[in-house]
Amino acid sequence: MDNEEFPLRAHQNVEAEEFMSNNFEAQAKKYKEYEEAAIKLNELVFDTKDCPFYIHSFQILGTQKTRQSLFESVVYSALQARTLSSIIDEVRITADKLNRLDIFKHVDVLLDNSSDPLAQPGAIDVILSTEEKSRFWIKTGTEIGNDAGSANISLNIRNVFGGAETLETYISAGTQTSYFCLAKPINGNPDSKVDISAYRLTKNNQSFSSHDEILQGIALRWRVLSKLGFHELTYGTSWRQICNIAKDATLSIRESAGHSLKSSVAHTLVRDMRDDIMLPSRGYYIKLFQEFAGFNGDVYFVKNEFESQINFPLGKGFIFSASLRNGLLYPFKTRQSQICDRFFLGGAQSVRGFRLNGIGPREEKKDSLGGDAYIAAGVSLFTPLPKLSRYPVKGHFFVNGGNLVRINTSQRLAVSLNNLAKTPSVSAGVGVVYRSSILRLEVNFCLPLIATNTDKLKKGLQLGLGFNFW
Amino acid sequence: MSNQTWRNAINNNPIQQSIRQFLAKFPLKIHRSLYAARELDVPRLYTWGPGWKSGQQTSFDQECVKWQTLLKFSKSDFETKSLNEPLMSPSGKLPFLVLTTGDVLVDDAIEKHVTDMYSENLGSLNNEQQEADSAAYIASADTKLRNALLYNLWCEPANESITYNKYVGHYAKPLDKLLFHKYKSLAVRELLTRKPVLDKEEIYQEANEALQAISIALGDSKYFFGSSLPTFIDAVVFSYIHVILNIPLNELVQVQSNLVKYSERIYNEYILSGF
Repeated sequence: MDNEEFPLRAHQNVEAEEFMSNNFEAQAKKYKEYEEAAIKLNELVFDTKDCPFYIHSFQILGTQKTRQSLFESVVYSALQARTLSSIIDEVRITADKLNRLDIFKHVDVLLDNSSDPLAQPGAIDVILSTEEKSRFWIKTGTEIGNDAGSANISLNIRNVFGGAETLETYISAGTQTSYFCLAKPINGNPDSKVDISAYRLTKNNQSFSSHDEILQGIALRWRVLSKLGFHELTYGTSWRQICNIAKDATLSIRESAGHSLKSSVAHTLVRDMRDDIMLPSRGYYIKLFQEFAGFNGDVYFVKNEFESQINFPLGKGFIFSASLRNGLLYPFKTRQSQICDRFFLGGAQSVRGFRLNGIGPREEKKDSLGGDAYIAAGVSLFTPLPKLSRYPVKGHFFVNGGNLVRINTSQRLAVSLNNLAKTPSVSAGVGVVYRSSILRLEVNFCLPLIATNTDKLKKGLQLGLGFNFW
Repeated sequence: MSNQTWRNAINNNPIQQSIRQFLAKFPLKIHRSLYAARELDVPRLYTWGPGWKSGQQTSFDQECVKWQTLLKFSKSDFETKSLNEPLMSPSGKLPFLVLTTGDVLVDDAIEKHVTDMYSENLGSLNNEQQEADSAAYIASADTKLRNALLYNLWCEPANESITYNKYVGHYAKPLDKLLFHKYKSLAVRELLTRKPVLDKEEIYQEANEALQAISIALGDSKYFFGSSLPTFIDAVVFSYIHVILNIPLNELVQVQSNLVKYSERIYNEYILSGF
């Protein structure tokens, strides 16, 4: 077996091999028949591929709620095809698009000579037989947190107006979180969707900076797949409340309490070429994020963030991984940025060897205040473990570090950015990584090498649980 | 005991000790933070502000003026900061006092702090009768004068714009409207706890009666109950009279001339001149 690939499917391969050997003869005969038929069909198609054909009629069976206009926009390009091969390609693409709109259980294609007596030579009838998926589903659940239980309900409607729109709603009683999102594909294209959403959520930041944040807002979003990657363009307005300041909060946190209204436009580009998002063995990942706030409301800033990761298989199950991230938040018209817009750094999923958000500006070793500029980098070496090469478990050596600083808008930007190099926080460590089917688990023994006197260190064992590790 | 010795044995184990010594060496290098911790030199009172008239050092909010005045009476060293954001306060209401130790005080805790630390600068009541009278006048001010104040600021459509400017004018649109509505409903709810029906004439009439009674109680003396130094009731009465004289309510209720003079004297003596 190839050692460089993660042996996730190991047992499935074994099963397949057994199956093959048992039915080998019967299978071989069947395969041969299939093969001959396929070759014959291929030849036929190849011979006729440039002959003029056209689609005479396009029939779609099994639709109930779906509107005709959706199909019109999806099949439009197939109707332009004038040769057999392009018709086959386009119909296949059409069927694939319909499948990915997630409103049908299956889409089966049938091409036939036109049965219409008035049809001209070369006329083809296309019949797509489909079956619509069920449109509603409701899910209820309960959550148990540290101090309180909570109930939630989510309601989803598929194909709301018959144009493959989706409606998602979610309401949670305990955390006072609610979410509503109506999404619609543009021209029936599953890779280009607009959605409008409204939300209310409460973030509990008590553990690292002694406050809660309540967010309420609406957003208009366009998500599209391009050659560069996955884009997301958002225009949104949100009302943020910094509240429930803890009794022993530091003065800066207390003074940052209040209401603010952010109105911004943001663009995200993600290009993910990794073979796995949680524990990749090869490929790279780049994320670019830009945000401009200040259309209306009282929050003015420009924000940029860059994330990257690259992974190389070194052979024999060794994997090398490197990541680099940075971010810059530049407030304007206002004296300083607000805590809910700032960056935070440190923790098992970002810079290991430090507590959650344990790096950067802080008062009295207690509350993280967040910063306006950061840089963080890390290198990891994943090694195979003896006798465990069949399982998704790896040994892990790492060195990582970073820094988070404030930007003083009365100074030149370069002066503030210079501070990034002055007081870096760096740690190294060794541990094991386990990739389960739903998340990644890390246990590392961490040693902070360089730190700032206000950093919150995590010396010794640190547990990391999640799916997005730096 | 055996448990203890067992633990000791582990802790004193040479391997354990050397691990601990090894860990103690990290981090190998420690920088000093670029950001100095913020510490207050003097206690700081967070209030609504600035005052109704330009140049006024008092808050525009009666509760804030009350505690500001009490702190001024006590001659304690403190500064005032007006960020106009009640969410900063532990009680959800302004004012609150942050001490240099970092403790945050509201309402009665401020009074306790002042009377504990600076009692020599405050007058004292001589007997139980005076204490009972003082409590009665404070209660009358905190109900009848406060009703008139709240009604005048939040329920009179003509005053909506001045109230809006002071309490929510600094917020972005449309949060200002939302918060105005929220504060207004809080004021109305408070009024309804004391009055089942909000009758304008009745509210102002009761305020007039209360002012009359307070005016008679003060008489010609410098402070209430003839004290030579101000007491808590002086802070309470001053805060109401001072705010009433600065808002349109002064045209609807009659503030007796001795109360006007009393208010001006306290403002000049304690608020303006400092100490």
